[in-house]
Amino acid sequence: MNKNVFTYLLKSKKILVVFLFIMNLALMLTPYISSMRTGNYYVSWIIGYVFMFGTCYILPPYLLRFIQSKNATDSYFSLPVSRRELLNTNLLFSALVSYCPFLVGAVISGIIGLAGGHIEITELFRILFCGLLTVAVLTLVNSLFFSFANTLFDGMVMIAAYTAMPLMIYIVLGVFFETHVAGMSYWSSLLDGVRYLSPAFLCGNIVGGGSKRIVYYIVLAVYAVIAYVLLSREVVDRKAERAEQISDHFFAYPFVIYFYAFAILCMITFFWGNRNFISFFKDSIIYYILLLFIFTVANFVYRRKIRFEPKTFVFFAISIILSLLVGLAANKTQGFGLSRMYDHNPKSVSYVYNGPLSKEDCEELEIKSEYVSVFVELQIPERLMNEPQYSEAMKIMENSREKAIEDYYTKSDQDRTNTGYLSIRDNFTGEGNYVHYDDSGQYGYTVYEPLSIDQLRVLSKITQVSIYTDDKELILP
Amino acid sequence: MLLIENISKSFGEKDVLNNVCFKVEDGSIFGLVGVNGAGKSTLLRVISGVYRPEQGEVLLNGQNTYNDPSARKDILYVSDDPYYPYGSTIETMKTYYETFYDLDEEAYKKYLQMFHLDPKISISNFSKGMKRQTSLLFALAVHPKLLLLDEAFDGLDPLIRLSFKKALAELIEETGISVIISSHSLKELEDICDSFGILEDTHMSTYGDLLESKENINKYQLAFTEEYGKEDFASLDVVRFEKQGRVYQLVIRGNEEDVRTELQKKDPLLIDVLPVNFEELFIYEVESRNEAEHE
Repeated sequence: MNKNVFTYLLKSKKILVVFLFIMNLALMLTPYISSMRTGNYYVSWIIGYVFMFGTCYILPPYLLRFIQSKNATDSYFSLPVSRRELLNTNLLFSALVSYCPFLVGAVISGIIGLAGGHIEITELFRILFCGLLTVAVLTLVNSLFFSFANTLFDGMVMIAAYTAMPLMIYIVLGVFFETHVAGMSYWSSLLDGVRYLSPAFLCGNIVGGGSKRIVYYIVLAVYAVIAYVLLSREVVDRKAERAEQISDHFFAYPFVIYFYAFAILCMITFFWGNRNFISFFKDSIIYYILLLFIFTVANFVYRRKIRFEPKTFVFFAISIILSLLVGLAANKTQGFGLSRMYDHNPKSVSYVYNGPLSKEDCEELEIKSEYVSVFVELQIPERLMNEPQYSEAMKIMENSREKAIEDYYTKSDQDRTNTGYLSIRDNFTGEGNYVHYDDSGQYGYTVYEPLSIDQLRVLSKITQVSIYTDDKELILP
Repeated sequence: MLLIENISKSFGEKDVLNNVCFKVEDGSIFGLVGVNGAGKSTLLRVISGVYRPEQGEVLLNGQNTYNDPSARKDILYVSDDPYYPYGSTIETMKTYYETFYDLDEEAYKKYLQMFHLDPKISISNFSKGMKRQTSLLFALAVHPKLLLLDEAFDGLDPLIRLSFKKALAELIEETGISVIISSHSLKELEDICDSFGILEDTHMSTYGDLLESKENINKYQLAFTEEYGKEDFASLDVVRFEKQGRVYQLVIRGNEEDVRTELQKKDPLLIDVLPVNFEELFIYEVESRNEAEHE
C-alpha cells in the first residue's frame, strides 16, 4: 500500500466515493421507509449485498484502466511508486469503496434486527464477513480478468466472458448428461461441482449456503489467493507498450474465443450425436455455418479487422473435428462410463416404474382398453434389503435398469414408442411418509422393454402394482 | 548524471532501440533528434521507467530508473500526449503533482501567470497548445533532477515558446537540473541545447557537444578555374558536393583550418566558409550515413 497513491485516489475520486456511499446506504434503508419493522434487516442486507456485488464489477476496471491507456501508463508507470504498490493501493481502495457503504448499512440494519430480537450478533458478524470475502474475491478476480486485455472495452469483455464461463460449462455438461449419460439428467448432482468454478456464484450463495458454507468460504479464499498472485504478475511484469494494442494475451481473446467456440461445437455434437453421420451432418450444418459466422465476428472484435487467415479456419476445422471425436468417444464409452457410475450396492433403494403392458399380457389379463399404464412404487429400506422377496424384486428392477442403459446407446428416437419410465433413488433414510431422499443418487431411465406380467406379479407380492386403463384402475393380485 | 548503458528495446519482432549508450551531465540540456519513428519517445519512456528495456540499464545518479521507484522521484516525464483524467482541471492536476512530487507552490503560481491559464476550467476544453502549456507548467513547477520533454514545443505559439525557453534556462541556472528534449523543431533546440544526440536506425548514431559538432562541420563555397569532381576531394570528408558551373558548394567534416589548407592546394579563386546550423547538421549527418549505406 502506498500512502501517496491512496491519498490521491481519495482526493480525486471523492465525488464517486460519496455517491456510492449515499446510494448504497439509501437503498439499504429503503425497506424501513414503507414499514419500520425490525424484521426488515434481511431485505436491507440483501439490497446492500447486491449493490456491493455490482460495484465489484465496475470499480476494478474503472480504477485499473490506467494500465490500458497509452498516455495514462506514461503518467502512472513513471510515478515514484512501484507497480506492486500502485496495484495494491488501487485494489484496497476499490475494495473499501465497495465494502464500507455495505458495512455501515449492514450494521445499522443489524442493530435494528438485534433490537427486535430477530437475530443474534453472530449473524451480523457473519454477514459482514461474507461481504468482506465477496468484495475481496470479486475485486481480485475481476481485476485479473480485466488485466488480460489491452483496452478498456476488451477488459469489460473479458470480465463478462470469464464470469459466464462456468455457466457455459454447466450448460455443455448438462446437455452432455441429458443426451449421453443414461439415467442422468441436466440436473444431475454430478454437475453440482461446476458451481465451484464460479466465484460469482459462490459469492452470491455464501449468505445462504447451508451446510456447504464452510466449503464455499475455503474455495473463495483459494480463488482470492490465486487471483492475487496472477494479477500481481500481470501488472508488475506487464509491458507498458501493450496498452491500446489488440488483446492477444493467451488468456484474452485467443483463449476466450476458442473456449466458447469449442463449447458450442461440443453442444451441437451432443445434441445431434446419437444419430447416424448423414442425418447428423444434414441437421447440424446450419449450426456450424452460424457458428463460423459468430467466430468470424468474434475474431473481428479481437483484431479490429476482418482477416481471412487460413490458420483461423484450420483451427476452427480442428475444433469441429475434436468436438466430433469427443461426441463419438462419449457415445462409444457410454458417456465416458458415467452411465454405470451409480451405487451398485446401495443401503436402501426406491423404484418408481411407469410403463405399458404388452399385447399378450393385456390379453392374459383380459384388458381391452387402448390405454394401459402400469404404475409401481417400491421402497426397499435397509432392513429389508436382504429379504429374499425384496432381493428378487430388486433384481428385476436392476435388470430393467441394465437393459435400459444398453438400449439408450443402441436404440434411436424412432424406437421410442410404447416406452416406459423407471426412476431410481439410492440410499434414502426413514420409512413411509418420513422418507428423506438425498440430492445425489437419483436416476431416470427410458424403458424400451416394459416389465412382463410375470415380473409384475413378483413385485405385487411386496408392493401395490396398479394398472390404469381408459376407464378404471386395477390392482394386480 | 544520467547514464544510458546499452539500452535495447523491441516491440515484438521489431527492434526499436539497439545498444543505445550516452550520458547527460547535470545542468545540461540534451536535444534528442531523429526522423519520425526513430525511437525518441520509446527512449524517453525507457529512461522514465515506463518501458522495461530488454537489455541494458538507465542510471540516474547511480540508481536504476526502472527497478528503483525512488529514482523516479527525481524524474518528470512529459509525454507527447499528456494524460489528463476526464473532467480534470489544473487545480486537480496540482493535487496529483503535489502528492507524488515536490511541487514548488511559488513556482506554480509564477508559471500559471506566465502561461495565462485558468486553473478551474476543465482541461478537456483546452486547445492542444493550452494542454501542452499545462504539462509544461507542472514540469517547471516540480523541479525534478531530470526533466524529460517529448515534443516539448509542439502546439506552442512563438511567444510561449520564447517564455518557456527563458523559464527553462533560468531553472537550470538556479537548480542545475538536466533536461532531455525531443523535438522536430531543431531551431528551437539549437537555442537552448548544449548537447545532442541523433537517433537513427535503432541506435544513437551521433551524440556530443552541440557547439563542437557544429564547429566540426562547415559549408565551403569555392570557385576554381579548373573543373573538379567529388572524387578529386577524396582526401577530405565531404558530406555534400554541389557544383554550379565553376562555383562549388561543399559541406566538409573536419577542422576548419585543416580543411582550408587542403583546399588551398587546388588553388581556388575563392573560399568562403559558412557555419552550419543544427538543422543542417542533422540533415547532413543523416544524409551522409544514408549515402554511405547505399554505396
